[in-house]
Amino acid sequence: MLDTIDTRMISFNEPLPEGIVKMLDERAPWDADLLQETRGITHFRDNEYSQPSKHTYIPDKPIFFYDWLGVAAMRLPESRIVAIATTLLYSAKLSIDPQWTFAFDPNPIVKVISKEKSSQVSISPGLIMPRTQVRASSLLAPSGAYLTWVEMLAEDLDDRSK
Amino acid sequence: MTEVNNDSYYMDPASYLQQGDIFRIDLVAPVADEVQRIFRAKDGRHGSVVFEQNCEARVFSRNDLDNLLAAISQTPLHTKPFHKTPDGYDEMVVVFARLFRYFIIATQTCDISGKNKGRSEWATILPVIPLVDLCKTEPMPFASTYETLTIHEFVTKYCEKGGELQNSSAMDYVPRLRQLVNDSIKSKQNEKVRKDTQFLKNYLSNYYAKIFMFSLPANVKYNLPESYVDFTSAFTVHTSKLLAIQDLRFARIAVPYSFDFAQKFGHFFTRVALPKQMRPT
Repeated sequence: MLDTIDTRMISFNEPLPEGIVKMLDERAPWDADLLQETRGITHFRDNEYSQPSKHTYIPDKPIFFYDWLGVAAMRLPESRIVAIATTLLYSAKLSIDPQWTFAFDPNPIVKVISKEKSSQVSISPGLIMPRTQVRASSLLAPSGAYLTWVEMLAEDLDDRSK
Repeated sequence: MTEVNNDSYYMDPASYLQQGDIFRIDLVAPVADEVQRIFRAKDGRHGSVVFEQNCEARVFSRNDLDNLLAAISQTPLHTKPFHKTPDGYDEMVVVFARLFRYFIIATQTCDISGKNKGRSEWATILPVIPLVDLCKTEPMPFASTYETLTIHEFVTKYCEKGGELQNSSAMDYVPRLRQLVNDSIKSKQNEKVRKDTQFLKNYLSNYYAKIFMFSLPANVKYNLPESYVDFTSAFTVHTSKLLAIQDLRFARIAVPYSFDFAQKFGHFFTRVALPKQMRPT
């Protein structure tokens, strides 16, 4: 159903799958007008390198997403559903509380994934987390090329300060 | 110091494994992780079953897997987390990884050749990274830009005729890049960009002088573009695996450059760095 995803081409203009609409509608309270409005979200991007999730807007209500969504959109075949569903969830939260500060609640997303899932892999809810947190768990070492760059840069700055 | 002759820098690999043997093979290099994302069949059997039977899979947290295994009747493939299966499989997990196109043997020849004494069971390998790959994939902190750019992106964006790099082959890329950077410094440009361009020129000329990397010159005969060995990413592999793919070796660093490689790799791990105040005044 959603096997070819290009994050730069995510459009929120298409109708949501019936299962998603039903599940989201069950999650009260929903503002029907906002829901309708959100379905017409237009996706903007500053340049081709940006994560689309950072640049999604509904009229007069900027919504900033976690990087996590960008990765989800790239990695998971059901990402489009995740992105749409999360857009709806976040917009609804924002409409209820304009001061809402984006506390991350993975459970609705997990439910969306498992509800619509017809593919082969599911994930323990405890492993759903913002992208930055996933990456932070990795003991990623800077490459020798990067370290060399930084060391040369430090020497360069030292030379200039003399 | 004598000039390096690229034709004498490499030689054909011997019939046995040696330090400095270079392999051409796509190598998935995992990165250590503190989170346990355990890949299993949905019913808790080892992850290899998923590929064998194309059955439903799940990425388990450790708690979820422990709870599942405690609740079901188990088969031999319901192994305890991070225990080997009866046929010797390690746990399958989801981690970050890099892809390297070449690697080089760092273990000393006497330990892996099998000549004169028994072969060591394990060998250390290091990634060999073409400079063109570094330029195109590694984001660098350029001072003049407010975004992190790869060298390729910087040159394409800020250097005159930078777009010409798009059509360069792997072998031609680095010489063309150096030429473009040199030409760009002479042209009029923003002062900050000029400083970055000058820094880039120095980097491309001297990157191998630092302890983190060992430079490998380009060689047409072996179809190897200018590359470097990254000492910060060492991997341990089973020597029998290296023997199984030894036909994928295409070159070896020749003596005495292989000694230089060994000495620099050793120096990277054995050096003693003292704080400045400990030095005699």
